[in-house]
Amino acid sequence: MMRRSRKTKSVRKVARTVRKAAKPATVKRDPLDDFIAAGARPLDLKIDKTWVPAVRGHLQVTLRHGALVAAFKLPDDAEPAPVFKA
Amino acid sequence: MDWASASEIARAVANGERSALAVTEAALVRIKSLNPKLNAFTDVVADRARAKARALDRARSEGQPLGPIAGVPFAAKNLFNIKGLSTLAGSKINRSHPSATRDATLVARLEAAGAVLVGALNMGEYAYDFTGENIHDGASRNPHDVARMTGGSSGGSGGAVAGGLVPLALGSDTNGSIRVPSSFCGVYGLKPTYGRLSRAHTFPFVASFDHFGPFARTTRDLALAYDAMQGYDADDPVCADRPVEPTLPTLERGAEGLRIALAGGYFRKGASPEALEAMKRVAEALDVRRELEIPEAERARSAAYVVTAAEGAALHLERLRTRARDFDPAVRDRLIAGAMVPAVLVNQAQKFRRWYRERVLELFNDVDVILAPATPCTAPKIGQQTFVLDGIEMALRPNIGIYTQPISFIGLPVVAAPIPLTPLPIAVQIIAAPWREDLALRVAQALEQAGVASAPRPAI
Repeated sequence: MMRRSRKTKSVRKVARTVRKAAKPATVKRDPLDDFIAAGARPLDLKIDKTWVPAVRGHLQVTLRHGALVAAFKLPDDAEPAPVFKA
Repeated sequence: MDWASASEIARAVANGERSALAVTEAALVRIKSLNPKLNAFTDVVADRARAKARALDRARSEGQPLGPIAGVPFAAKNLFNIKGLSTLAGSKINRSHPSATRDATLVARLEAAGAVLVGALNMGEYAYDFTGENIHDGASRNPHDVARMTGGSSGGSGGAVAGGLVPLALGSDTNGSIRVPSSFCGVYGLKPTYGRLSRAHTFPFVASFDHFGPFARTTRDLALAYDAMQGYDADDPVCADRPVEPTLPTLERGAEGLRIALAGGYFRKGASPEALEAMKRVAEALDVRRELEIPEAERARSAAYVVTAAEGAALHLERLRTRARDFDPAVRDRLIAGAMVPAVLVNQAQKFRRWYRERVLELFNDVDVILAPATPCTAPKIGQQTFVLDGIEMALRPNIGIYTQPISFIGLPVVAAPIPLTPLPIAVQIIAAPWREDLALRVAQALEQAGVASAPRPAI
């Protein structure tokens, strides 16, 4: 069996890299976009695709605030602020 | 009398120096001349105002008693019901709503005390706004520099009072919408305790945090209007069944004997040199050296943000389904995002709210009043999208309220007192324990009498 030279291997590696770089870049879909699309269906909201970046941005900020709130440890018997009285 | 206070006008009308009709006509002329520059009014109810003024003059000539603010022109943010007008709440969508068949409770109470309603005021769409900009009606413009924001969402209220179009206006404050325009426009604003003043017959935003209150150019005028509007209202389930607690009789007691502290920590972080200078002047005038930390204020602001997003979205869900393209995109996209907020976060925020309330109320065992900046900066330019906060460039629109949100989150009463820095004013928050509006007003009066707080007259 013929062994490939070190040079051939290196050329192939470069060729692979060039082919990869030449491939059109695929836009990575933000996982929140799937969340927004899935959430919109049961709410019967029709979200134009041009609105999605802004909605995503606002949702990211709100979820960051939510994470700060959720990180605060409260006892199991903590009552929410609004208390209903029958 | 185009810069006269409500108190001065009421005195002049009561003793016959001026007729209510003459005062009303002067206000209508001023609105006609200045509103094209300031864009504060969305409707003027001239016929109604003249009819009310004539009735007041007739009553006086017949020797009938006049109310404490007889003949004082005032205007209301356009989310207050005004009989005969659609309640716009700054939106395009509500223009197709039928006209209101009655006035909001607070409008009716001011008129019962003799004030004369002259119109409805511009505001950010559905009150989800700190800028005073409005895509449908145009931006409210700051009388101190018309290229700058009034702040919002009660932008027209701040602009109308600061510009001298009226001496008194009504606004609402969910996260800062009275205190932010007070700061940017350099006028006094009172956000009373949650549940103190009726919200009945207004267009809501976030039921958990919606408050209503007055704007004026003097502390005395704030107290006059506030006292006239107090009292239980069965039409608002949140309105507390408490007796009227007048604040005018104790106003002149000033800050004497009050334990006052400055809010440090979170409330210094991100403050501009102007906000810090305003705090310094106030601290020196009141000889306050004590500083305290409001615990978990940053988390409180986050919790207010989450609840606002979710409750606002719930309110507008049907409109988002059917008329999404009729919203201001900046408001619509925030509301859609709010509809996606997991319920567990909202519930946790409401649980945290109770915890935070208890911790903050403990502070009031040792102090009567806490001072904090109202806004991190003076009025930005209209259209400005970002600003630098604590060295980081941030979106402007949602972040102007960083210092107001942790306070309204638990419904504490606050007077925003304007400090007349040049070229632009900025306000400090005078914060008291629940139901102690009287103390916040006393401190504001002390600062006004010391010449530290005042509503500067703009050159327009």
